[in-house]
Amino acid sequence: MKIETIDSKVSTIINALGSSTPIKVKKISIGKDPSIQGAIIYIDGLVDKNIINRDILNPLMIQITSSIELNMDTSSFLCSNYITADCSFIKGNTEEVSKNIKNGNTLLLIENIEDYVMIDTTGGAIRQVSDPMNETSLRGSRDGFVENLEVNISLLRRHIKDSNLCIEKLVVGRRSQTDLALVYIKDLVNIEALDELKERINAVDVDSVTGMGAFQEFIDENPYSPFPMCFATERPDRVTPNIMEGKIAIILNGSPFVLTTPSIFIEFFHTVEDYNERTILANFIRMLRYIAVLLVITLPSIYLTLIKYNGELIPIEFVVPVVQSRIGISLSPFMEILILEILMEILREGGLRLPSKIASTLSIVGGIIIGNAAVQSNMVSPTTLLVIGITVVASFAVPTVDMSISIRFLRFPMLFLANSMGIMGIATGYILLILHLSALENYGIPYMEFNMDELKDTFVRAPLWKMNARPKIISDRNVNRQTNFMSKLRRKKND
Amino acid sequence: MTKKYRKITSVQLFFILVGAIIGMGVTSLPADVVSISKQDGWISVLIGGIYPLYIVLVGGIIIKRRPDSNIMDLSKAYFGKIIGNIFNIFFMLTFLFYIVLVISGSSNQLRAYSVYFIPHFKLVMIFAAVSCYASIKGLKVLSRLTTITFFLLCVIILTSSVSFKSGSILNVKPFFGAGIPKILEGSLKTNFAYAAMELLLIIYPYVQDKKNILKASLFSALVVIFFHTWIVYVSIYFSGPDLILKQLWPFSFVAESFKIPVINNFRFMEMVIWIAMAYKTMSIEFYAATKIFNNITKIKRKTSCFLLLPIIYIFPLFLENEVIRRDFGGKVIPWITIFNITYITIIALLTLLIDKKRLRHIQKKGENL
Amino acid sequence: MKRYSILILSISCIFIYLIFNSSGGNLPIEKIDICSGLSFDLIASTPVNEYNVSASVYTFPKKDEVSSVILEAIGKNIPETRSTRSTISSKEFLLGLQKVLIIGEAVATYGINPIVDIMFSNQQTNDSTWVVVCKDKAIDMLKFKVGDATSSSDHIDGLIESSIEQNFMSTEYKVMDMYVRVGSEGRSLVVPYLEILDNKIILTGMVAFKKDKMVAKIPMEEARYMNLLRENKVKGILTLQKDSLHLISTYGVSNRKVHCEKINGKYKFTIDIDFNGTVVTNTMYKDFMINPYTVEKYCHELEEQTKERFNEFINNMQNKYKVDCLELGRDAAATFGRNPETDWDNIVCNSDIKVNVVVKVNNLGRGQFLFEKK
Repeated sequence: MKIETIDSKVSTIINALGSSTPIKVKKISIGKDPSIQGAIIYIDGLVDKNIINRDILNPLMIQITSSIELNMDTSSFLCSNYITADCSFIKGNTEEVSKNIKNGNTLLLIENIEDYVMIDTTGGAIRQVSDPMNETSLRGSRDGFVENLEVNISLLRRHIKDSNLCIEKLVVGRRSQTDLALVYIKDLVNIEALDELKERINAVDVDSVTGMGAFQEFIDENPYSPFPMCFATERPDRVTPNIMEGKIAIILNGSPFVLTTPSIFIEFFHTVEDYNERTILANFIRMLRYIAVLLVITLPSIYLTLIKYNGELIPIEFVVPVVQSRIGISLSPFMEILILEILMEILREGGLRLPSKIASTLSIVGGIIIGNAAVQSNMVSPTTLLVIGITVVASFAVPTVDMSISIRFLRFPMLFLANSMGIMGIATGYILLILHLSALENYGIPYMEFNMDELKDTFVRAPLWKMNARPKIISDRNVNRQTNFMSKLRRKKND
Repeated sequence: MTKKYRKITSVQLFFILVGAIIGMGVTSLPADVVSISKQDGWISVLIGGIYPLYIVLVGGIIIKRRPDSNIMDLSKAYFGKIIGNIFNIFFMLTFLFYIVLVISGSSNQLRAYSVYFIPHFKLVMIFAAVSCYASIKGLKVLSRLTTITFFLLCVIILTSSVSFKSGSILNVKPFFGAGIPKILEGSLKTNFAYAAMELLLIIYPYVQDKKNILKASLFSALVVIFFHTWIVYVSIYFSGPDLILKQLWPFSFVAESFKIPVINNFRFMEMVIWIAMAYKTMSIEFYAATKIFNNITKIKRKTSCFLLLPIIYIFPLFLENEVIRRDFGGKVIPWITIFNITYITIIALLTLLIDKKRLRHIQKKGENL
Repeated sequence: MKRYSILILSISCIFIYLIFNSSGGNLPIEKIDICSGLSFDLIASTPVNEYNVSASVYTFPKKDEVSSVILEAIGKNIPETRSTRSTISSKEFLLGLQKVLIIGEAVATYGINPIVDIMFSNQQTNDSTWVVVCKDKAIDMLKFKVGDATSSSDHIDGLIESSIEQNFMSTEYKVMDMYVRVGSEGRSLVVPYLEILDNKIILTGMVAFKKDKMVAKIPMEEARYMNLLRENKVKGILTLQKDSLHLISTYGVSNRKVHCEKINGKYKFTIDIDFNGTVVTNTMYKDFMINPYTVEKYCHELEEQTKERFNEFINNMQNKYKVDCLELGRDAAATFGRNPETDWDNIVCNSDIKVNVVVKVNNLGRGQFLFEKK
């Protein structure tokens, strides 16, 4: 026990917290005849005032009828008998105390006692768990992650009750002190990837981490590649299967997006719907998606090549209509396509941020009226407009936003290559793309590699009851995740 | 993790070997063979497949005895440093020669078919630059590239089977009508088509599962033989032995006759696929050449890519004319084949005879890919 | 160095792009003449004959209107006509989209090797262009205005394409087939023959080539039988007609097999034709529907008549036309060995050709209107 008045204790804590931050201090008297001086310190807005009133102030100020002894066990006596909220004790470390207070806990100081009693009163306004806005699904669950770390972890915990589930907490950012949690399953995860990830996170030395996007860039292994390296999602039912495959989920306090690493190229083209629909239908939709991706990248380039260089390869039935539509057009084909593409991108970018009422006007004005006017003024030809329109529509089919931006970006270099070299340009563009993708690696795991035994879930999806093995490429421990239980369900034929 | 993934699996070895051998040059293979063995050209191609099979089998002996060192080290060990290095330089020159022929051949074919407007030196520049970039990336990336392009090759082979509708068996009969001596003479012409199997002896230390190497490479040799025979057979079936002699690239002629409803002319897709094949073959052969160069001179492999780049840029410029190129190739390729066969046979024999203990100090561990 | 690496990379990208873009003086497609048909004519003159190669190209006088215009060019050889043509046309010429090649009779008799060669070595040409021979001057046929198509080449394209439904015509009259057949051992080229009669373009028969020169014009009635003997799986009508009131017609598909033997140095060919079809009209036998024996009787009668006609044609072919238009040389070469020196026309014309016909009726349609139950 160290003799110290309550005022000096309070001023120590205020210094540790930062004298310019407004905090609330309430001095209380614990016990009666004689009463002990105490004080609670909390930050308004981060705490749930109901807990403070009901679980701390009420018992301590009102319900203690006798005097309390001041000795070593006073704090634990109070905690176990009177304070009904959750308590923990910290000795001497004002850093940790200030961190806890900034997290929404309340500090109880008792005069002459060295222990700092931290009471869990986190509250404050946070967003409710609701439908994720950017990734809707028809038959999946409707909850999405929110900005609070604990709520997010609890959402994951509800889905995975395995005792091997491991949650590690880290802190990033020198001044922002943002909390970070790594969630993985201990006996499935890829150990080297985990170690390297932790090394990278610990090496991040910045003032503040503003959001998941910035954080992604800090731990990125290939910063100059146009393709996303980590898979970010708002839905718990996408994170859970990934954890089951041996990946690591990274949750950052303050961002509703949860990353799963290491990620591979093909999973950016999978949606939740694929696994919720029936096998054949899901495969059909998946095939459509891949065709759409190919269309987005190559259709304008093929069109440009056919018109500009290899006119004899145009299918005979299309020749007369195409040429007819191009009579009297003032721009050259390349400029036409380029201008239309840039116009579409500007329209799309504008439509992202406008309130919904203006957005519909924008689509009508931009898409229909300008498009029509451009055709009638002979600046662009109707066929070109059709081709670009198909490309834009196809680009909506890519499910993940990150990947969709990358794919849309890729068509510009392809267009330039096709303009200068024709067919050669398209082939060269594809080869360079494949080479670049094949060379990307995420914590040692190749970004794009197709193994024969993992084709069950890449281009087409095998029926779910056939996917017996986890993909070896992520982690080759404990590969079996299902057994052939379907054979038990078959009826015998000779009944 | 990274250490393990630096090595390739035996399945990827299969794709690499098939990709190194089959390139854009197969389109001109029927013309060479049919000029000697008429309608039995496909039998000559079948017989000519002995060359890669032989290399695989002989290579199997070397691989079994010395699973961790490659052929450059072995030649230095058996023949001494200087003579061994001279042989290595010859070996590297064979790969460079193949690349020069492939680049000029692809450029000629492209300029004849769809890319009329790009002059020869620009095409050569692009080919050289992209294969240099690809071979800098390393063996693992090349294996992924060849896995994908293998399926493109299968697409072409499948679409060429459409010629069965318009050709007829009468074009291929009578079987063995040309006589056995002509057939055997024709199989000598297939040497260039089956070249580059020696790549196996350079990359076998980097394969993960050693016991499947022989199986994978045998399978790749069989697949290559099958594809070549199919290509020649389909070309003869479609065009007949008289018409093939008049064409420079008979297989392209066949593939063009595939008519799909919307895209009348399949030539577009076919050209894109052939260009991808061409890039793949060049990249792998260039990788092999830089690997040997790295072994001889101990310069880092990535720098040696840039050092060898001028060679593959300058020499194809001289072979702009397809006739000169075929003539030149026809004169030099037999010598190269003889050199390869004797070199590998001698090394295999020496491997059988010389004891393993004396060469332990040659074996390296974990080389840079 | 590393700081500037991005700058160096982007500048070199732009530089490389500029190098590559400077190549090609390519015009986009609206500034190119699209040729829909070509015609070849010969003008006899000294010291060398002159070729008149005309092209029918599409023009677009107003928006939504398409019409065609003829570009005539005369030169001492076919490539020279290209030079002449560019002196009169306002746009570059694109050769890859034409639908039909019309060869005049004069050129066909003189030899079509120059045409085949120039088409073959040009990689831009379209290999499924139809080849036809026309009476007199080809340019008249090209200039002919038809009501239902933009130019006569479109009309002819449709004409030949839809002709496979009748007359046992096949689809193998394309440029691709021309390459394969001219000059190959044991093969011969036949193409349709068109004429302008009564202000219409009519397919009046077939033309047979010996190597690359036209030697025989075969009228349609005979040409039907030639087609039936020559092609496999072709469709047409065979009629058994006793007088104007009694006839039976069958529309069916044929199946052809050839066997060849060599007896004492002389070749013997056996052609087996199987004809399966539907009875289209029957005004002769009234009891087809109940009596299978009548059907068989009809089949035998039709077989006899067809065999007679076949033998007539073969006689003509061996003695009058003296060319192997049935491609029997190909089967012989396949069985007995190939030698480019053999003159298969001669051998076939001196050999024994026997034809066996089997007719089967496998469908009677909806019924027989003139059926009478006795």
